[in-house]
Amino acid sequence: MRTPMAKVEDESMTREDPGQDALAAFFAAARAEEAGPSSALLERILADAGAVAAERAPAAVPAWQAPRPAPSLAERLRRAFAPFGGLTAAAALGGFAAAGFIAGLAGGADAWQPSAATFDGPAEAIVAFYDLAAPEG
Amino acid sequence: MTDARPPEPADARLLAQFAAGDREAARLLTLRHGPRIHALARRMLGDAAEAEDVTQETMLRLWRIAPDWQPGDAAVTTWLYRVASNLCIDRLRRRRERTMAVLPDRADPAPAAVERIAARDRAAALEAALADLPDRQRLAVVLRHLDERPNPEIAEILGTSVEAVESLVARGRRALIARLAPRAEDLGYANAYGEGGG
Repeated sequence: MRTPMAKVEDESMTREDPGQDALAAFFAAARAEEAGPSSALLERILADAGAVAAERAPAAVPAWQAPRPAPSLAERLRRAFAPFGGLTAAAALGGFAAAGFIAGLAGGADAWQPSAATFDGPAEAIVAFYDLAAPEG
Repeated sequence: MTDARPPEPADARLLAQFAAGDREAARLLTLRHGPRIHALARRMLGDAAEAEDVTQETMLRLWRIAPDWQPGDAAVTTWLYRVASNLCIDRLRRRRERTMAVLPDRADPAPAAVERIAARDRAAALEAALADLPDRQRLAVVLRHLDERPNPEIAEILGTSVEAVESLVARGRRALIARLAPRAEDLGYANAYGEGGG
């Protein structure tokens, strides 16, 4: 397709120099012979466009970097008791502790009283202690 | 007669769409401008492989500048021609440096083409004659007479005045006529070279 300006200029050239006619024919032949770009080139250009677009897009977070959901209560308990043998062991330990506590309570007040077996001192020493304290009181 | 096709989106708009992640915009820009840039590079360099490299590099620069493109800037076409022109001239200079260092003698670029009478030969003869022009003169002639760009746009591409472009084109035409005249008879244009027309 020739632009109007090109036509006007070519016409003025032709008036000035007859050789311009031949030159215009050479130009026309060159335009007609022009081979377009290969499809491979166009594909490479589009691949470049894709690569540039990918560089600009926010980087996708890899799976190993993606934030994970908060663990459930059971999961947190499992992790907390893991060093002690896991939940089963912790439950067993708790059970034994509770049983011991109940057994202690079931023993009655005697369990909290010092028995003769636990106080080995002579009874006289106690009486003497009260005797010494009395004048001051 | 009406044209039922929707109007094609402007280059700047397509560029903005590409910058926003629209790959289809890149495809449209490639189909619209790739062939033009390739033709310019082919005519400037006379080498298909180098012309493809220049075309790819020019378009790559367009993709990279897309996010920063301002609507008030030069037309996308003009910008592309400018980039491609500079790349071509750079390659021509490097090629000349290599040629001068290794092979000072120059052979006839297309002796076989001169002997045949066919449109292909004429195109080849013109290409050979263009190769003899100084780089900017050749660029001006190619843009003006083969790509048919208006002089003001060529001035913008070359970074010079319209008057300078007119001068470059006129000198280029005269040089081409002088180079092609001896081959005109072989190429079937003898009469057009002023036999009896002065």
